[in-house]
Amino acid sequence: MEDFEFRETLSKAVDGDKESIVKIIDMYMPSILKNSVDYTTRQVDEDCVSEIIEKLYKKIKNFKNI
Amino acid sequence: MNDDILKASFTKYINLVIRNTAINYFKKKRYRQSKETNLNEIINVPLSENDDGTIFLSKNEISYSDLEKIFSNHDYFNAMKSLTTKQKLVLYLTAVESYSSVEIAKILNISETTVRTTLYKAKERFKKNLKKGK
Repeated sequence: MEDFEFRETLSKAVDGDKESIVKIIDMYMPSILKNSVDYTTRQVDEDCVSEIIEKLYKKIKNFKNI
Repeated sequence: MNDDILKASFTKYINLVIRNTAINYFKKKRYRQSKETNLNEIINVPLSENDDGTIFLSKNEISYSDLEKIFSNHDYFNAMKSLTTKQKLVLYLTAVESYSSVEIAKILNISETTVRTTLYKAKERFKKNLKKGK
C-alpha cells in the first residue's frame, strides 16, 4: 500500500469504516502472528490472534495523530 | 504530518498494542494453567481401599511433604504451614475431598470425636495464621 493510500485508509478506519479497519489489520497480520506464538508449544495461539484483532479493532479508532 | 512519518508513527502505535495484548494474554494463560495444575494435583490425590472396605491415603504414592508442596503453591495454604500433619490432612479431606467426619475416621483409623476436635483446632489455627498474615 502506498503512503498516500495508507493515510486515506487509516483516516477511514479511525472514523469506523469496517472495510478499512480490516485492510489495516491485514497489513499488520505478520506482526500479529509473530506475537501470537506460544513458545511452550511453538505454535500460533488462535485465541491470542482473536484477542489481538479484537483489541486492534477498538484501538485503531483511538489513534489521534493523523 | 508527512505520509511516511504518519505510517511510521501508526506502525509504532499498533505494534505496541499487539505486543502488550499478546503479553497480557500469555500472562493470563500461564496463570490459568498453573491454577488448573494445582487443582489437578489436589484432586488426584490417590486413595486406596482395603479388603474390609476401609479407605486410606496410600503413603507410597503421595507423601505428606507432597501435600505440603501442593499447599505451599496457594496463598491461603501458606497459613497452613504451622498446622500439624494430622490437622492438615483432616482439613484437606474435609474441605477438598468433602469427606464426612465418619469417613475421615475410617480413612485415618481414628475416632470420630478425634476427627471433629482436630478439625476444630485446625480451623482455629488456620484462621489465626491467616490474620497474622503467615
